[in-house]
Amino acid sequence: MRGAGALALATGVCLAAGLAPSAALCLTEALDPVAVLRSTLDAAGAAQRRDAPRPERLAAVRTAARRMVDTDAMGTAAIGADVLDAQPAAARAEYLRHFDVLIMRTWMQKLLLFEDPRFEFGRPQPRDGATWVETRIVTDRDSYRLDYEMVLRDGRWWVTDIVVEDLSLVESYRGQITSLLEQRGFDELLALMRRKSDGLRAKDER
Amino acid sequence: MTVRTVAAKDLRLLWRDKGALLFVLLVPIAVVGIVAASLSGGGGDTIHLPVVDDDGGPVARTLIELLGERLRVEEVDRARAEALVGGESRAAAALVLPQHLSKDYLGGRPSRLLLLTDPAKGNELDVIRAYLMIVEREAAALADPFSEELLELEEQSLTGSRISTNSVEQNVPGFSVMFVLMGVLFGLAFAIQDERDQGTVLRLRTAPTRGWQILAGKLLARFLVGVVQLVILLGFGRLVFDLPLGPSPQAFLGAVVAIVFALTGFSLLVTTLARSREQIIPLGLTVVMLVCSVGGCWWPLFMEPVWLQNLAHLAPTAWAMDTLNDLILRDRGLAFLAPKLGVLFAYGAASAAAGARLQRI
Repeated sequence: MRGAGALALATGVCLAAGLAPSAALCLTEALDPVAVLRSTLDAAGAAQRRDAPRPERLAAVRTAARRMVDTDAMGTAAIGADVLDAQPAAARAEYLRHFDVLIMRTWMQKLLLFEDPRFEFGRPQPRDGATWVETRIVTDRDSYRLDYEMVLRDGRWWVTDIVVEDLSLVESYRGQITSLLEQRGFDELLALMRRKSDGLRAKDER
Repeated sequence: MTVRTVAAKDLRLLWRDKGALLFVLLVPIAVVGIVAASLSGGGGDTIHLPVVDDDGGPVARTLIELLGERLRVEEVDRARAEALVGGESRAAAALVLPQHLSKDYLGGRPSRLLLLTDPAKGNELDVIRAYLMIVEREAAALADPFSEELLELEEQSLTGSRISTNSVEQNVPGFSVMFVLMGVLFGLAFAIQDERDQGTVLRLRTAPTRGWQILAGKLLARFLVGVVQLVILLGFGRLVFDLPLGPSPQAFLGAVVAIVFALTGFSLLVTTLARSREQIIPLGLTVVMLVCSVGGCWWPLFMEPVWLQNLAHLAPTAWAMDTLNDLILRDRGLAFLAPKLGVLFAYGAASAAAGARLQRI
């Protein structure tokens, strides 16, 4: 019943988005989180292989990743929904904006370490109310685990956490944000994130 | 007129002595070329860093690329790395990237990189350590999203357009000054000794010639030969090693003339210490070795203790190297060089006057 509802919602979203020519792909991605991952990582890999300056490649990988990474959910989980809700609307928006820059950068840095990455995908596994997809980046000498926590929302699969070699990005951020909140408070956390994300943006533009 | 005549006679004698000509020009060119090439690190101006990649993963690859932007990185196995640093002394250090480095890095776990070192090569080792610190900081910033980059490295040269120098820029001027000093000192000492041995001084004195004129003629001849020799040696460095020769021909020629003038006067003073023909070579060699090594011809003066750097400026070679460093490494013009050129001219004049007074001719 739940699956049928999701299918109906996904079909509606695809049609509403005017994606008739790619409706089949859209539907497949709506039903299968692995398909979402595969197409996104393929697009990121293609962008990475492009013969273009690094800033352009970074931008292309980021565009591809935005199709599936829900950085708002990750940012909220990292700081805690109750803490974030206690902040003014403008501060909440700014926090999520900077968090998006930082976590996308962290994930992309790790992905871009690999030249011409080859991905292997496992079967989706339900765990703790979400779906986990295990992937591996296979190189000539070794393979590296990247697991994706995914949730189906509004007819689309979204990544809400990424675990690289047993290191959860959300948990890693949560540890640092908690420590910073305790030591310096929200305003200073925001100032630090602002400095950091502005610095990264400036570096990308160079 | 007399001075010119004596100088012309000495130049003719030198031209006839093909062996001396060979020593003055070809031998120094060969030695300068060999030394400069052998000390330049085999074709690059970067420091050699053997790297053992036991990880083989993407993090090791990235580290090697980052280091390769600054150092001459060579990937080798562990045994070869130990031989290059320990046995053959061809590298100041070798870096070992451990197994599972990439997995640990990606998983947020610390890794220990091993640096195999030869502490005797202190300067190179310091440079390698500095680059490793920079790379480590960059890597830490990538792994830890909240780490603040409080130290950002920006290189800015305050003394010219370049941010680095190479060994050729030390060795070619240094050895050129040394060979010019040798040529002037030995040439002058033997010429004066020849006049004494052959009794030509007496004959010259029967002519309407004064002792100072004879000396001045000999000094002029040696000075001119020294100027030509230094121009040729530095020109050789320019042609073969792309050695920069300063911002203007005036500055270059001013430096060359002042340096050779100081070396000529100093040589005359030194020749007064030789009481016989047999003393000339050991005395000359001792003085040349001493003032050239301490004076910065063999290594940069800044590598010496401060007290020795100060002491070194009693010798003309230290002033000569200071001047050439300003010209070549710092791209300074004639106006900036003027005070040092003044010191060199004053040094040459004072030592020539003292030498003439002590000379028994």
